[in-house]
Amino acid sequence: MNNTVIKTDNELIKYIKEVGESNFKKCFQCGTCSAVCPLSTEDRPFPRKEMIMAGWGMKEQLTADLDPWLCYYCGECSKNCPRKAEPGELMMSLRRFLISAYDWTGISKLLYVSKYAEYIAILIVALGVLLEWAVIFGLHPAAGATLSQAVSPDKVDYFFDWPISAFLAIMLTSFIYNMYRKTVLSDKSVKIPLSLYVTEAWSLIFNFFTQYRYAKCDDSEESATKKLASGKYNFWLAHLFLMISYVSLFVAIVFFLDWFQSENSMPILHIVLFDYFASIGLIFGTIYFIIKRFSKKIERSKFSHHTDWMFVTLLFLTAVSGVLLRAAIVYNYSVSAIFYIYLIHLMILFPMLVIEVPFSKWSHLAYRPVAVYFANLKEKAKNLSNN
Amino acid sequence: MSELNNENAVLIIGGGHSGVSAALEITEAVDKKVYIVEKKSYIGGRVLQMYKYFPKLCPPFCGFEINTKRIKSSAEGNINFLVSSSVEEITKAKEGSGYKVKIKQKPQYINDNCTVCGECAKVCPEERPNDFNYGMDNTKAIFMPAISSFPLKYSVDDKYCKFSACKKCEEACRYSAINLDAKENIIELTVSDIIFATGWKPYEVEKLENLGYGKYKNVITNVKMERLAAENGPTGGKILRPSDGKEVKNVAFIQCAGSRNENHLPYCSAICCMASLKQAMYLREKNPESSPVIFYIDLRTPGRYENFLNKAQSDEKIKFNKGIVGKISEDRETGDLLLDVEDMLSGKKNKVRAEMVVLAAGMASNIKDDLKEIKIDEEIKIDIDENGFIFNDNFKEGIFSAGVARFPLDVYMSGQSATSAALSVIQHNAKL
Repeated sequence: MNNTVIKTDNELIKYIKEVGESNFKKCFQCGTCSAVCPLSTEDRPFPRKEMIMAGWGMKEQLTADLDPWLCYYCGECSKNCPRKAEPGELMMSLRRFLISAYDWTGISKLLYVSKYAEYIAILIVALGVLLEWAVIFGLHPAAGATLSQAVSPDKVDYFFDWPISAFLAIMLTSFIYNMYRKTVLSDKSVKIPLSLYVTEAWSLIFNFFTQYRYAKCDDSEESATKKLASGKYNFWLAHLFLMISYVSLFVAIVFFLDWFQSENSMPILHIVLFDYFASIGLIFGTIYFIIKRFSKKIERSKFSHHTDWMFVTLLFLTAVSGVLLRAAIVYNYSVSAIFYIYLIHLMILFPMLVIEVPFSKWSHLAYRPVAVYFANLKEKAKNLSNN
Repeated sequence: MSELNNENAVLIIGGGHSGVSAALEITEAVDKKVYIVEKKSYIGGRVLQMYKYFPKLCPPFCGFEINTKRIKSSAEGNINFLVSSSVEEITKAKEGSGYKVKIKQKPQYINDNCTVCGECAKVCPEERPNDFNYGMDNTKAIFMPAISSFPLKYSVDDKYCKFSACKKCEEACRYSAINLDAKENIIELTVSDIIFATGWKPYEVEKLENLGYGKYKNVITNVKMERLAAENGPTGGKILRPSDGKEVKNVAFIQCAGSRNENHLPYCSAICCMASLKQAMYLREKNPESSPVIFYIDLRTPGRYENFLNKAQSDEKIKFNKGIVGKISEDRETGDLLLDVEDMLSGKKNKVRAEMVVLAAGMASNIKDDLKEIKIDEEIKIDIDENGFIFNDNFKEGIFSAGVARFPLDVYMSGQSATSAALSVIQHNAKL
């Protein structure tokens, strides 16, 4: 036995309790959760160790832990927990904690603790967009102006799309670096050779685009086609559909805004990919998750934090207002109608991007694949040094 | 309908170790009649199904035999056994305090002439699953219920006997001990007190779907393990696994199967840790090459029982794994079982192979189900807690509990609880 002194933090225990509905204090460390978990590995089983780390408020260990990101809330742990301590929900709470731990600004913590803080933050950004729009385009379009005169795509790019992209890039990069520092650099037991960063990069890309870990939640011996037919992949596919739709629309709008403000550039690709595929993906996906959260039938939708609701609602409204805007352009509505729909769309979209992406739930888009990448790096490096 | 002399009698429901002990404590102390109502055709209950008691590892005869001896030396008529009987109705007695009780005794097909010669069973063509061995083997429809049955005689299982269509046993019996035309008997008593000593049953572990009981043949319960180890059990005392009759060496014991689980039994069943340690010792004693592993949350061996734990731990072939099994799957070729479990002390998750798995099934109280079959006056308050135990005796009403009807306990503490119930009865009847 080595004499490690473990520092505990009561404030952290309170915080974890506040940001989720786990009864982790009821845990009596039987280990059922780790044993039934389909995703945890032999060397690094979870969530039993997270249950005790949270129970004791072991901040240092929790901050350095990547496992909450490797958990996809399959729910087997919560279903089988003899204490009804909800280990799955604890992992969710820990993801919320980690988002606020990587965020050096302290904004996430505020948003997670208080729903009013989140409402106010969203309102401030929406009003900011209104103000900026009023300064750049005015409060109503000039008489007789065409759409591109009233709302110049170049100006939207210069004053809205590109600044927000730069903001998100800077924020997320700094947070991910923070995560790297806390989870990889802090671990003195492994030294990762540079070459591994390159050779393991595929796992980052693969997990970003497939979210394959969702599929592993069901570890029964049935064939993949049977699982697909019996709906066991539904959640995964709905999630993937939503995410691909979002990412493709985001990239296209930031780099090719022109496409969306005219009705006939690159028609086939545009109509199929964006007007249909991505719009349906966003609206179907958000409705699917809203229904799941209301019905509470599956473990991972049983508890909803206010940030979950805010996220899915904003995404849904963004999609609906975006589709309306696009329809108004395609069907040649009056310029003034388009002008106002455009403004409303941006007043919903920007709060979502500014608040949700770096500081709240949307950040898992970045943290999840990055965590798989980091975990792979550490594991491979350990194997290398053992051999 | 026969009217028995019943002045000031005490009714004890359940003729297991606790019920019989309470009856003896009362009759040995005061001049009071006791009626024991027992569903089975013999008294002794669950303890007779044990191979050995902990911590001394003596056979059940050594414990229960003392009780049967005490019964024999008690004054004639003080303790009345109504076997194969159940209480039908409990109402308030009109005059003064106490209860009127209606008891139904199933037809007594075998009378006291029975010498246990066994000729009847030899000619009986029908078979029944042997509930004494938890269905692991069969007996004839006319059978000896347990090796130490008291009263010592054969029984007829009316679910399997063909009665007038067969009657071969009647012809074979040289002592006129069998009468297949016997009728059921209704007995009415007035009693001053009732002791519930209704005992327990193993928890229905098939409800723990992840552990595969009922799905995989080689997953058994701790009560079955007692029968497998017993010389009078279905395998003659050899621990053979159900799927292929192979003598097992590598056996996994899984603790808290149902107990301490809010989806099943929220309480600790108190005896399972000691029982599994004991059963691991059976294995070691019967086969020096055996290597049992006990998967536990924490080991609860209070007081002097810790010595027993130390004894088990000093045998290096008995392994302990802190961490409970989450899932069991079967290797179809060999019938072995694969256990998903975390070894908490190393922090690693393993797949462990075992030839047989013994689930430490928790103790579920019988009383809730038993009361459903009894018609009880609404004004009679029987205080059953949310876990199905009579933890709070109703002293004013003369309603008491003994044994596992009160809370989960072992044989030794059942004896204590029986003495406590007997004392309560005596105090309740004291003229002040």
